[in-house]
Amino acid sequence: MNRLFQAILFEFRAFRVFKIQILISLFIMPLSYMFLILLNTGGNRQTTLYLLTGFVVASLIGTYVSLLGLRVSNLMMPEVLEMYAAFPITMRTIALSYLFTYSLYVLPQIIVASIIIAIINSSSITWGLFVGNVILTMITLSGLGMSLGFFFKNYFVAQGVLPLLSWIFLFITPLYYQAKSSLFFSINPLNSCVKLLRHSIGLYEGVIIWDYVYLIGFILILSFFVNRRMRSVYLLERRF
Amino acid sequence: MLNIKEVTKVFPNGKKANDSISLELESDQIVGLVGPNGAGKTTLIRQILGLLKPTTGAILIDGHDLKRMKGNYFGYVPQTPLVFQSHTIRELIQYTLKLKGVIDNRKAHGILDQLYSIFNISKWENMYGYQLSGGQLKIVMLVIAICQMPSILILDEPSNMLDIVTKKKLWQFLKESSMTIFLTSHDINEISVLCDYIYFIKEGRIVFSGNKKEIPQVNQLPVTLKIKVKEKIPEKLLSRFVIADSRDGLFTIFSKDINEIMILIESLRKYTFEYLSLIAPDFDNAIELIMEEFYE
Repeated sequence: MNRLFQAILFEFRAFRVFKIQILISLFIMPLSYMFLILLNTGGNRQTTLYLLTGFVVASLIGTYVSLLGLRVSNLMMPEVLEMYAAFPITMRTIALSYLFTYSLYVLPQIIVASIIIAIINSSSITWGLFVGNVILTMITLSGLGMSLGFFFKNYFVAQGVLPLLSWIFLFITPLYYQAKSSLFFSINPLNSCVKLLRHSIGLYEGVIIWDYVYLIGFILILSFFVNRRMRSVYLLERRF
Repeated sequence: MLNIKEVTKVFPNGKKANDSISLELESDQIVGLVGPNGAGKTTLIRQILGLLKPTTGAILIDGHDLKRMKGNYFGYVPQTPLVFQSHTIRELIQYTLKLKGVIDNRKAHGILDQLYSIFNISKWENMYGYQLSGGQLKIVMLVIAICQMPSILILDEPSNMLDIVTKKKLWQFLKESSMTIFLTSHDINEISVLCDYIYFIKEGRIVFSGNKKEIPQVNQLPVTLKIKVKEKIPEKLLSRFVIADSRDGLFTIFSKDINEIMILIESLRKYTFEYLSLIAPDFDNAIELIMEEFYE
């Protein structure tokens, strides 16, 4: 546990040299984007809440699939592995420290969006459920990001593919647009994530039990894959 | 302590990087692995570190298979130093000590003080990785590896990038440290100064191994005769010798047979000697010659 804590602190310290980049990517860009969303809702409460919940999931997709996925993929590079091999730390601790660091990294955006949701919708929000669903979405997307990172061992390929995948996820999930229920949307786990968030603030009235079951099953599969990869110490088998 | 048994590594593209390599490293011993570029040294190191899976064979520590063991046994310095660019050297060292759980360990701090003093690290400990030279980064990696007080220190060309003064300080420290060290090197002096036992690797196979005493005997190393006479030496007298150099009439001649050299000197007695020296093979010659032979 102490090692994991040290590794997270270490990761956070690493962000120091990217102060301006972080200020822009963590606050200025997402919050200005959220401001634009709010401007274009025309004061409609329902639409604002719909788009804000979409924004929460979109922020998590960007952070976990693009950033965390790329970071994990970078870890698979022989020279990075060699660098870490010089330190008394395991692959599991490194990967988990990435996960927690990026979770903390995305938190300000989620908190700001949640505060605005709470201000607009204080009467019909179920806080426990909302927070629980945000955490469930974070677990789903972090698992997805890590799985993709471990899957694309070649960092140079990942640099092209992961942002594209992020964009595809944003495109196929009804985050910023309305969509009728269909099989296409049902098989997308991110659709379940956003549906659960909307349910917890009273925007969705349908049955959600199957979304929980589906997400938990999806998380278990991802955890199995990630765990297998993390337990494997042989990471340089593929040629670069 | 470390026992590598018949380790073979075949990459997915079919390239065999290591072929039935067996070697041993005893406690407090410094063992060197020498060989040309691409011979399979780094692949072997990566297998020891667990970064590559041996295709066949086993790597044992104190008789236990490394695959089934948990914990950090190795301190490692890679060939090319890569240090986190966004941390100061002091932070990197502190991080290592904290991860290893020896932040309050007096012995670890003692070693660290020694290394700080040897390499003058205090002067640049507050600099970031990206502000340092290659040699300084190499020193940082060495300090990080050594301050962990590992069971086995694995050094991949430890002194490349270092200036000669720093090299000698490092060698002296390692020699006096009584650590168990496995290193690769292309530096004859380094091997000569540090290694108790040497393995030569070529095309993935161990082609020769021995300690300092064994090397010259096993290889029947040539003696070196340097000779210069006032007159011209008839070619037929030298035809059966390997002549390394003959500039300005100074011949450098190699022969594995000392008797032949003595006969040559005897047959040249009628000439006027301007220079004559006979150099017996020593450890450095042995290493150099073996390396020349293997590096072809």
